[in-house]
Amino acid sequence: MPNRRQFIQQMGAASALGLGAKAGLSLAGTGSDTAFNGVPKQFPKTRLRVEGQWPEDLVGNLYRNSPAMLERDGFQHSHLFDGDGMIQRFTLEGGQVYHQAQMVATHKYLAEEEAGRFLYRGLGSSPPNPRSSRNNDTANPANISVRKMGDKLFALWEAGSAYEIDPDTLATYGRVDWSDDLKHLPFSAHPLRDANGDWWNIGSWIYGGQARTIVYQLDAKANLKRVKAIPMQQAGYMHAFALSPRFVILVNTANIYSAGKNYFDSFHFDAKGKSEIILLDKNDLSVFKTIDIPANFVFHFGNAFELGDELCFSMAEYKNADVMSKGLGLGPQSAFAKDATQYNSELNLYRINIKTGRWRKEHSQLSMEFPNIKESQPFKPQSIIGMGRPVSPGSKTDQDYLLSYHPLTAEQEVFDFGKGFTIEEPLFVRSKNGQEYVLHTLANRDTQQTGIALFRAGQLAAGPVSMAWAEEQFPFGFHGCFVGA
Amino acid sequence: MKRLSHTSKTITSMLALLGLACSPLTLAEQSQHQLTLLIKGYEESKGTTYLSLYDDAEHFNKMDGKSVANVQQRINGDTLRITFHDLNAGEYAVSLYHDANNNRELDRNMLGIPSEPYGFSNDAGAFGPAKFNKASFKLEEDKTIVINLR
Repeated sequence: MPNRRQFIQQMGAASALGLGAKAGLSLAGTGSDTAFNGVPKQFPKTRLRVEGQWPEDLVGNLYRNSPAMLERDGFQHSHLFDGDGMIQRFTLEGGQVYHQAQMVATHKYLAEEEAGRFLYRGLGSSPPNPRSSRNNDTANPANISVRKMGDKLFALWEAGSAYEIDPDTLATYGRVDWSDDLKHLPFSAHPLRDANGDWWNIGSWIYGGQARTIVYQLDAKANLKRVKAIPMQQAGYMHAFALSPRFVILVNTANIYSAGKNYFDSFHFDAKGKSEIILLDKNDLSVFKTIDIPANFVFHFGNAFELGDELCFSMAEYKNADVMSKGLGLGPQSAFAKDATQYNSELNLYRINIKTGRWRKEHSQLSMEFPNIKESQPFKPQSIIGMGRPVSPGSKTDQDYLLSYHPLTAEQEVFDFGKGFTIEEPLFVRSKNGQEYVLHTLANRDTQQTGIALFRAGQLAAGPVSMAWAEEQFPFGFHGCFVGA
Repeated sequence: MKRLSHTSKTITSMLALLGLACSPLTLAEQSQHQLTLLIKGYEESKGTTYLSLYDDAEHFNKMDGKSVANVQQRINGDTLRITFHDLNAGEYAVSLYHDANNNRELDRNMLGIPSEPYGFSNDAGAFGPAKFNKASFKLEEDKTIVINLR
């Protein structure tokens, strides 16, 4: 009986022996910037090759969103954020794993399908002779995340509306207007669930000389309960937020917007400026406190919790915004093409005295992205799981590893698949019998195959308990959710 | 009075009935020209377009009744053609919006941003309401201009 690391090694060898890549996806480690060329409009339902024993009581669907369509009519977008969204679903049932995927039928995607070419500017790159965008949904690719709120599934972007998706067929129902006066306004890709089942989200509006953060509160069935536009002192980039029992926590970064030739070109990182931690009182959505911190950049947060008068929250913190402007591009400066460590974030814990506003930062000295927590316990100090990033200079994205870190105890766990594997966002999932697992997709870059791995929560170092592999590599994705059956 | 036509049909009388008749224009001893507007980009073939033609910055886009002409026209297709006749040579600018739900106003979201299509001559207004000097054009001969809805 092989141990788990041997099991992984055997699995990799088996994959390398017999199975060739179909999708023309050649990314990190190759220096190529032709990622995602030739992606089909859908992947029909296929059964993956199972390795190990998948728990019978772990039944449900892992949904993930991928910026899949990056090339049309000979034009290749040069930034990962510009691919049209594709919803991928990995179905776990009866000890088997199935995959299927479908493009999100956004206004942009349908118009460009009809035209046979890209029509609109992306966030980081622009096709020739682009059409002007009418509103924030004209070029909305719905490509960052997919979340279930209530009984509805939503494909989410960050600068426009949500699109509702059929969780069974993956067909697109259409754009979601939370109310008539919220049409086309930003709704971020990272809604957070409150302890009472409500959902919170933000939308960052930084255009036309205005800087507003729209705060949404939805009920457990995803009906709008409350919304407020909060004026901001600076037009900083905000991708996500944190939520504590008392506060909506914004970090208004020092990556400042001022209209340029495209969205990302419009940002300037003000290294001598400041970022702001803004605490919004959940009771009335008033600004409770604004705390200036040195200029930083952040996409994602761990969870927030309150210890008496102390508010604590984690973030995957960057020293500057190069990761957005260059790191996630697909050119020669990209994290995929060269040394990825220059774009590393550090998982840091901010501790703020709610009364005095005094704050301190505890460094983990660990590079992590795509942090996630057990959403059933949103306000409890707990281990954060994510993609660990290599710190040795020259390391590339195929040297990521699975990482768990507790921000208070500093307890950490690591599992490294070894060179040649790129892991994607890990999630905590729970079986019908209450067993907690960690589930994530990954790619074997050598064989160009996509896989899915399952670990027992709290036992990451022991390696996966089961895996499954496709015969091809599916598009890389950003975020998703697991919906138990 | 100037004459207006929509797809070669005179609609001056209809405008008068709707109380949107053009402001009086003195036909001075100067050259007069025809201006045709091609408005493109209707995604919904329903509702009404409200359009105003201005000849000065002071009243541009103010909706204060001081325009050279106002037009309201129901939509039936993805393009609308409107022709003004007998316009004096000069500098003009156009603003318009597509009232898709026929509530007689330009719907806006909670931040005041239009949530119905709108447009300006020269396709100005990429970053908020256009100014007259960005939307204006000289009319010195018969002319056709295209306005793409935003």
